Amino acid sequence: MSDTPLDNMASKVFEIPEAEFEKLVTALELRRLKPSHQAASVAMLTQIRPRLRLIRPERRFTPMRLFCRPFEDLLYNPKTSRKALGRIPRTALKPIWAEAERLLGETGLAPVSEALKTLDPNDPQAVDAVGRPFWAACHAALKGLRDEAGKSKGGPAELQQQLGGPEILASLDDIVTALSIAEPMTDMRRVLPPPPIHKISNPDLLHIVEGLTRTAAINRDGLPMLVLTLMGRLQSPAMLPQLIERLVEGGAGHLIQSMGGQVGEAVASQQEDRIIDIRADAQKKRDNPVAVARALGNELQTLQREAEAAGGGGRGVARQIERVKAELGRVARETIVSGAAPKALAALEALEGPRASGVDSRDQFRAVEDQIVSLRLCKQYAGDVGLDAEIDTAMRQIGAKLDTRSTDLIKRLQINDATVSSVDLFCTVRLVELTEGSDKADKLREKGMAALRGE
Amino acid sequence: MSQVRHAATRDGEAAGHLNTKYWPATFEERGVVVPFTTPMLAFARARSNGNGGLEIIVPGLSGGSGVYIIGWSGVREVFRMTVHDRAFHDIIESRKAATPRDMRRCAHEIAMTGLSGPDAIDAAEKAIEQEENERLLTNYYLVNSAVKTLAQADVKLSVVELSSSAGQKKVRGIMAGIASDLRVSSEQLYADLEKWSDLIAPVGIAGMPHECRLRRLMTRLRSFRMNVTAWGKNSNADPDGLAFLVADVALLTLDVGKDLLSEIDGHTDDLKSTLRDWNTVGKEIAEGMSRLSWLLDGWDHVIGLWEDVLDGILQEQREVLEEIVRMLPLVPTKELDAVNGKAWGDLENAMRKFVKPLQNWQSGQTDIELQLRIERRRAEAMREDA
Repeated sequence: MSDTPLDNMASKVFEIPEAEFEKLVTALELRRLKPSHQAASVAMLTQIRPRLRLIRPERRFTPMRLFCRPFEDLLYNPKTSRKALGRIPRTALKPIWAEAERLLGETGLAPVSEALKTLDPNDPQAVDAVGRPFWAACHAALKGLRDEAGKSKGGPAELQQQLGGPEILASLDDIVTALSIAEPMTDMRRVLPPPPIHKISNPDLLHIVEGLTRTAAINRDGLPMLVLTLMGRLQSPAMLPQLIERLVEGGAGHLIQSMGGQVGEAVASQQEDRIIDIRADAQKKRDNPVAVARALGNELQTLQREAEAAGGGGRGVARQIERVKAELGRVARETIVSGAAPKALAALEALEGPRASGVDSRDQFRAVEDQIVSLRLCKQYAGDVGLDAEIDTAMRQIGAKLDTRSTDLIKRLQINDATVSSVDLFCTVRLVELTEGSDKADKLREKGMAALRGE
Repeated sequence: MSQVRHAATRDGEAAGHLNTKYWPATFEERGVVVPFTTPMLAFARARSNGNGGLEIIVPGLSGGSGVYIIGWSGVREVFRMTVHDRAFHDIIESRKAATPRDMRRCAHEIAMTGLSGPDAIDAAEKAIEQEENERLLTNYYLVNSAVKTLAQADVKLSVVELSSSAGQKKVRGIMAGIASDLRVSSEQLYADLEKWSDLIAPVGIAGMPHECRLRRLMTRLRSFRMNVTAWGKNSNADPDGLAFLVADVALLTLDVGKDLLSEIDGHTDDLKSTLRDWNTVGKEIAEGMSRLSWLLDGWDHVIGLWEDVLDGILQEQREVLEEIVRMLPLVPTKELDAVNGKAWGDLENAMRKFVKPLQNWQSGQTDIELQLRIERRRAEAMREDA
């Protein structure tokens, strides 16, 4: 039950008319700029996040948000402390921004804080104009911090400890690089279509080539970052190989070559990174096989979409997709398929035995149903991940057990056994339907109904 | 405007026909949503065939936009239905259920069997319990309101008082006085209040601390309209403006619903006249409630679909929006006349353009994920009612 004023506000938030809602967000964002009001504003913004996610009115910029703007497409939320190549975990932002804030000091931040008060968040050109000197200042400060640490033997380790971990130190490197090329990066982004980009037109391609050329002139090490930023805005990362081919044809071959395999390595690293989360999630949800089966299916669908978006995408993409599929298959086998039949059979046995106190028969049916449903869900992609035969065997075992149960149930209904009910019959019909289809299940229902009527 | 094409049963016999007309004239023509769990029938509506039987309307089957109209008995021939739906089909036929109220009762009854899983049993139990609670609560507020407004003396009644025998005796005394003023017997007054609260229990009384089912659905529909409009503006994934089309239909429904609700609430504001003329006013209230439940029929499924993908990816949201357009509960043209005949002439054309046909409808394969999603949505819709 929600009982705090904030909870009440959160429950009412969907009822606020849109225009009023936008005003509220603007007011809260402005208050957030004042240190004395910051905590309360953040608390309120957190409560209204469900609607913010839906409506996404253009939120006001805070210095930290403006700081992140050049590399915002690279941000992600890994579920453990780690960092994939070419991505920046969101957990790294706070400590790195704290360092930037400390190094810039009040004087260094004053111009940007002042400019943000009147900045129209809907005017990207104005936002980038305010950002440019600020990004340059942040770049100088953070590069200084990193270079200084690099001068002494134990410096990097100290800085790592100060920031909070190796993934944050590595993120600092990426952020310094991104800030160095903030100008061409944000200029290119502004002229391209908003994400998700479904198609890169020829004029878009020219803008990208210009972005690459300007980046190379400032900092060649920033080239992969520019490409990865672009990848983050594409409808699917698998569109990247084709885009690179077109860039080579469009005269940016030397720039692409100069990146070596860095982009490819980053893409592979990101794929690995995704699998770590999938595996961890599957382990965490072991007790909910349906959720795991569904999550794995969604991953496969995403892969399929990526492959389609890539239009084939070449051998590299195909290999990557196959590798992820195989890994998904392994996760499915370990967390769902291998244990499903024994668990379902045990739950069916338990239904037949005397019921332990406090155990609801619905929960027992639910336990069997979950195992069958998770197998059925896996079956949908079993062919892709080589699990067909194992799933068929598990389903046959469950089917055989259900046959025995059905025969017994009908006999007991015919003799008016008071320990079985119509719910037992219909829930069993449901399990038969999930295992062997609706025609067989309906025959059981009809037989059971006849038995209940005493026919 | 309409075009007829025939659908074949598995035996090759004609079972139904295609009608490309989208915009129904009356609620009865629109039909009532049947919460089937078979994916191909998820958006189906049932209606009377005019000969004492029923027929089913299935939108957007393969081969064209428009709706297929299939005789009730042909449904089992054309589609491979889930066992839940086979039993549901039987019960609807035996009860001749063709109104939202009757359909709801059948849906609860069939969900209670367990044929669509234990979660559906839980949801149906909760919905039935809640329905009864809302009926009792509405009755309490109506009686209280009558006592407050019509009694000669200033009286306040608490729930505790009403449940004690002394309190009940006191109420009986007050009600006898009111009945005498209205020149009806006490029994008649009680019976009329009981009938009244039974009728309006799905909306309750305005200002009650608890929002009853249909009033709650109106609130959800308002939020849905706002959300879907905001999504259309901000998502960059809706070049056809499907979100705005859906939002417009929701707005129209809300406009008509608001008027109906204020008519129904108006009778509670004028308790004396309502009770004095119950024989005529009671029929008006029944008619208003029936129109409101028809008007909102199907929106809980639409909202459920949308809520399902709020956290999803853009493409998924876009796909769901296409599904929603296919099943959108349009306000019948006759109801529009009642609200000053708003100019909605291009709506039907817009619908025809956007409704995409369902594919592979006769493949006979059940998409388990789709079926589970529908079952989950049905259970959630029942829970949402509660």
